Amino acid sequence: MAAPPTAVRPRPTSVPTGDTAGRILAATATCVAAQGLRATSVDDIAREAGCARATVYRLFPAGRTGLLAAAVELEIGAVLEAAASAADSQEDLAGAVAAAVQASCAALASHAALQRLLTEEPGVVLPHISFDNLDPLLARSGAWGVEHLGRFLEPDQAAAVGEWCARVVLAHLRSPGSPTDTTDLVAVRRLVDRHLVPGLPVAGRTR
Amino acid sequence: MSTPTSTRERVLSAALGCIEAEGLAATSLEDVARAAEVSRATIYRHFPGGRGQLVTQAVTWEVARFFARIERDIAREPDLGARLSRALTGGHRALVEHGLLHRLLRTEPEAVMTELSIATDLVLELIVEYLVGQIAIEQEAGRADPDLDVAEAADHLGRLYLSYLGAAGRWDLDDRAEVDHLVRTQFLAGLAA
Repeated sequence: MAAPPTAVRPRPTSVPTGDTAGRILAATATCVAAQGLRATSVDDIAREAGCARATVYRLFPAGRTGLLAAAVELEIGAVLEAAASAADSQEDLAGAVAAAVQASCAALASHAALQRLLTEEPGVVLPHISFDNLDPLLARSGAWGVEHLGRFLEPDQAAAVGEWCARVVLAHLRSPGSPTDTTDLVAVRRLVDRHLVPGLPVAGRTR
Repeated sequence: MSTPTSTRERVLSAALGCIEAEGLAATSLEDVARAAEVSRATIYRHFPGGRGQLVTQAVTWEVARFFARIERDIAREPDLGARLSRALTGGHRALVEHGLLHRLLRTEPEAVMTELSIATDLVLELIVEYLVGQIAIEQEAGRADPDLDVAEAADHLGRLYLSYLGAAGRWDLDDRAEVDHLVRTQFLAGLAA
């Protein structure tokens, strides 16, 4: 099964690095968690970060929009890393997938600023992870799958499972009333055992 | 349309027309009243929450109609697998071709995603309910495990379906063979005994 040809290799937004940028992004998260994005000014962020307003604009010329994009990118990276650590600690495919999905969902559930936005200002976050913006994220998850599930599966299958993980995680980002609590490893394992594993080639399921 | 539509539906249809013509932010209650040929008082009677509620319900109404069309389109397929295949291919294409959605995503992404997030929650409930019924039919026909946790399965498949509708990822949803493979491995495999 061939993946459709893509013209552009998925490439994450570049996030300014360095202590100051890090402090500013952390300050953004603190302010947004406390009062939401609309009520957070660049001045608030600068004050919280202990730097000048001009410094914020120098590192993030697009102001709050740029900060949000950078924060989203940072969180995606953090989630992929948490998922990687979780998967790498497991001995078999089902365990690795369940651990990765649970770790990702737990990381997102505990992100106070994100949760506040999802509840009160969903329009701010959702465009970054919906429709056309979802495809690059799914591609990165496919690459993640190849890297961290490749010891269990052929690359094509590993990529498909990586993408499946991302879909499940994002599909539960806002899940009022779902019978499956994806922050609960037992529930996630049940989902994986029941709905993912039977669809995989027998030979590829365990190391 | 030969069947008479209720006032509420006329207003919703007019609101959708205004959104199509002017976008979300620019659509005022007055615009809708004029387009629907009703008074403002009439609109408030049906939408006491005012403009905000009207816009949200217009979007929700359009989303519900979108999925009702898919449901009608797949009804004559012989089993759940065939229905899901047709729903994935047809639904994805209909979404790609939805001019208003893509225009709003370009011009007012925050506003449209805010409205869609509300509409999607409601539509997911409908899709899950539909799948619960479909899984029961499969169980009766001996194609699904009678001991399945149906609520968990329907919720999972409903969310997965919406995910594929929004973004095809590595799958070519216009390729019948690929879609059938996707449905067999990620939707049906978990239902089998």
